[in-house]
Amino acid sequence: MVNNLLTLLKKTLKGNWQKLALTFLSLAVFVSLWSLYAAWLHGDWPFEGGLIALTVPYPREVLAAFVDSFQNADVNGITMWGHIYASLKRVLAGFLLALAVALPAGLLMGRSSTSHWLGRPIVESFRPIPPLAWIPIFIVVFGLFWGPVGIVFLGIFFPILYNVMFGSRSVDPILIDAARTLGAKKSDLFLKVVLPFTLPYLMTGITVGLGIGWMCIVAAEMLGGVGGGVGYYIADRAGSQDYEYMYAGMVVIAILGTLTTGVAGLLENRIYKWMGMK
Amino acid sequence: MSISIIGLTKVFTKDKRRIMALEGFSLDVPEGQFVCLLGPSGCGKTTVLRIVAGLETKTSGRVLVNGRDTEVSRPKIGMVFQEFALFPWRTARKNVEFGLETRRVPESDRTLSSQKYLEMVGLRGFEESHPRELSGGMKQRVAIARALATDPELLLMDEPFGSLDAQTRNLMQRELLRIWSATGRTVLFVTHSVDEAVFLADRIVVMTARPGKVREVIDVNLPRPRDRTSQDFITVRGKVLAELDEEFEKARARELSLEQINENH
Amino acid sequence: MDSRVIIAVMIAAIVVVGAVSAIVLLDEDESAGGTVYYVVIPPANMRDALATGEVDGYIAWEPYVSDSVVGGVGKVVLWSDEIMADHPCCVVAVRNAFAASAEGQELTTRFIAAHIETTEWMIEALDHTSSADYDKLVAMAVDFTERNESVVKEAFKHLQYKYQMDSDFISALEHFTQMYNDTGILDPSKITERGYDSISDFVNTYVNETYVEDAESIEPSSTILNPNSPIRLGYLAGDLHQLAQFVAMNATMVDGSKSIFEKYGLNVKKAPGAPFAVGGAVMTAFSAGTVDIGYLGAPPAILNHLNAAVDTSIIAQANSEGSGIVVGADAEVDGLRDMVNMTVAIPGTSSIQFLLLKTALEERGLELEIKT
Repeated sequence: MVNNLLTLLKKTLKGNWQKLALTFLSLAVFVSLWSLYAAWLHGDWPFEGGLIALTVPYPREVLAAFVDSFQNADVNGITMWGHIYASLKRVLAGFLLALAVALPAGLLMGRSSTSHWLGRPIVESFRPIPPLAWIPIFIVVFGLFWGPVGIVFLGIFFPILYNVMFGSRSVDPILIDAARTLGAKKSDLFLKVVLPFTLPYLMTGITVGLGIGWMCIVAAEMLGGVGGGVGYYIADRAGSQDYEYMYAGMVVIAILGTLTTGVAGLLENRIYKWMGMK
Repeated sequence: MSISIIGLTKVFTKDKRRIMALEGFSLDVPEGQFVCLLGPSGCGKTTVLRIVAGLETKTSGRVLVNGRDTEVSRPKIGMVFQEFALFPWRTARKNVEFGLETRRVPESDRTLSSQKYLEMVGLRGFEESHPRELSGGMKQRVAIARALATDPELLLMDEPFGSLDAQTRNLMQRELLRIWSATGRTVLFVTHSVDEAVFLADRIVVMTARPGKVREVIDVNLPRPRDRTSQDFITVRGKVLAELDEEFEKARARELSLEQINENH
Repeated sequence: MDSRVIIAVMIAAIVVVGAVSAIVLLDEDESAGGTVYYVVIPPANMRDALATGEVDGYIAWEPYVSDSVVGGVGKVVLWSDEIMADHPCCVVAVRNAFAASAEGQELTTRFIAAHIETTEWMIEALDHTSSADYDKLVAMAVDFTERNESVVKEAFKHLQYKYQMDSDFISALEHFTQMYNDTGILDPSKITERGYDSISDFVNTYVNETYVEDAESIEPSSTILNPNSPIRLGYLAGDLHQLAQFVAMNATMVDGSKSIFEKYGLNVKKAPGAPFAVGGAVMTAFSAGTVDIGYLGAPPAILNHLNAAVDTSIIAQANSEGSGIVVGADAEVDGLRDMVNMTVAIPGTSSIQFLLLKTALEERGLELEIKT
């Protein structure tokens, strides 16, 4: 198993070495500029002029803080693993809720014009309101766990709803015709034609939604009063101006965000290919 | 299975305009015959097919399959479309099995059927391919296999080779005849192409311009396989073309006069 | 569709649902010795959180404590002076760059003079609860905190205004800093990183008593010394501990027509961003150079300076005590030990309330952990 993974890794590396080299190059440039700016702020070589502020620590300091945050418990009594777990819990709950509501709603609104015109005004009125605006209300109404989950729900709900609605409405009518000539009843049409056709659109909605949901949970944790979570971690560190650890928290968010949307995107591509649609 | 279409009329209402697509279209097709519907654009030939298939409702008239009114008991049909209409997420085999799944045929029987028909259309070895991996001709073969797998009473084909290039088209015409003679179904085949109709059909039904009805029925009593260069072939072709051309003229004249009416307003 | 795919999807769904249920339902961890859990909520929202049952209790500064008590929502389990008698709480700090010039020095000393006079006036007024000054003080407190009279009057009973920074004050700050080191809130190496030899060295350097001393010889001024460049004042929203700056700003304090700040020739304005929600925000504003003199809790003044070298000094005390741990009015809680496994709201981990709570719990052999 490990051998297979290693060979796969080697193959991926060999195949994409230009892309990887470019990525490393751009990262190296970024880190150098960052070090330079930090040096200027700290009044270190090659700059003189004394300490201006410590607001931007050196990359190596952030790296040390990053590693330390995973190994040792912080003032809150948990390590970064615990904070990640707290945030992921909320994102997962919000995601599943959004999926459970948006998928059927989207299918319904896509296939039935009565449902469409019934649901549309409600959906359209809520959509422009940024999920983050609901934070104070949700925390009071739904509490410290379900409040942030509700924000994530709102963030993920709309992309899924719209994509599923669009997808289920775009089912090629000729496929419906063909299915009917092949003896499909209404349930068959739905399960065997509409649903699989809509699946890639659902995946797009999920990929977009996850990105938004992730941003929502970080913001909700920063603005709302909750316990633990990566967003909370950053706000906590910022409060005591513990910058090295604050930036470490931001790096964690960047990594997690890239991972979740990356994986979702990969899955989306896989499904589009499998569907023979892209 | 024989088809009897009696006084079929279809009116479409679109944006408050009434378009009479068919008016009193009548046709008898005896069992096992290969019949082509030929006519200018908009004459309603596809509409006839769709009504027989149950995809469209009729305004008035009757359609009988084997003596039974299709509104009372729907016949088992297989239909092949110009755009292939294959389910892109299913393999060739799974596409073919679709009609069997809807009829709750058990899995082992489904596999036997799909294998048989895929081989019949010459796609052995491609059963697990997805439509995107197949050429146009191969896709249409899958569509034909799919239509036949349910053992339908009649086969409806709506310009099935219209999307294919000339060589593939010729090949598929021969293949279709081969398959048809193996299964002996009644076929109702819509096409634009006089050549194709003469090559394939036992009888050619030339339709009038809109509103569509039967203008002329021409029997093609040539033995198969037919030689496109033979004198008989050319004669029949000429007869059909003559009928068709008049209808084309009429259709065009009507459109021109319609334009004039609109301009005068 | 492929039946294998369907089965795979179903298995995945079951696994996911199972995991989520496990996560959400079985999440309650109970530790051996007894742990109290906390969440961070802005003090202004704490009373509501208690009322709706979102939290089982909270610790905050006045008036947020009496707010719940008077409103019948909560009762106090422990006052902060019971945890640590006469503990320092809010202080006055100055941005060193502001006080570096001669003019800055002068303005800062005058500010402290105003602060001292105001503080002494408030102490007098609170000693004579039937006096007109007392009523005036209460009215101003109501105005500043946006709470009603009974809340304010109750809150006054539990805090002390003072400006002196005596040796007990210094020791208390050293104790806080030591606590920060012990609990891992502050990396001990930060002390030396900032150039101090020890905690004692740090506190004694960071606390600057000269302004309080020099303020004694300051005379009122008939003209405003800084008409065009006001002192930008930072403070916390509705924090009764910091009432002094509000009183000093009141334009009717001196002969009915002047403020105490004006009496000493000072033009003082709210800093951009003021009022702030927590002390850490005041320190960040100091960093950004947008606050010249600020009222904030001693712990953030210490912590943020050590973490980020915010260039400030503590130049006076504002109050001591004045915080409390509140639980629901009907809760079966007689002491802190009854709060095991409960969830308490705190203003933030860099607040003095967090330190006090931690101290109180540790004395009883209990743990304090964040609730996730």
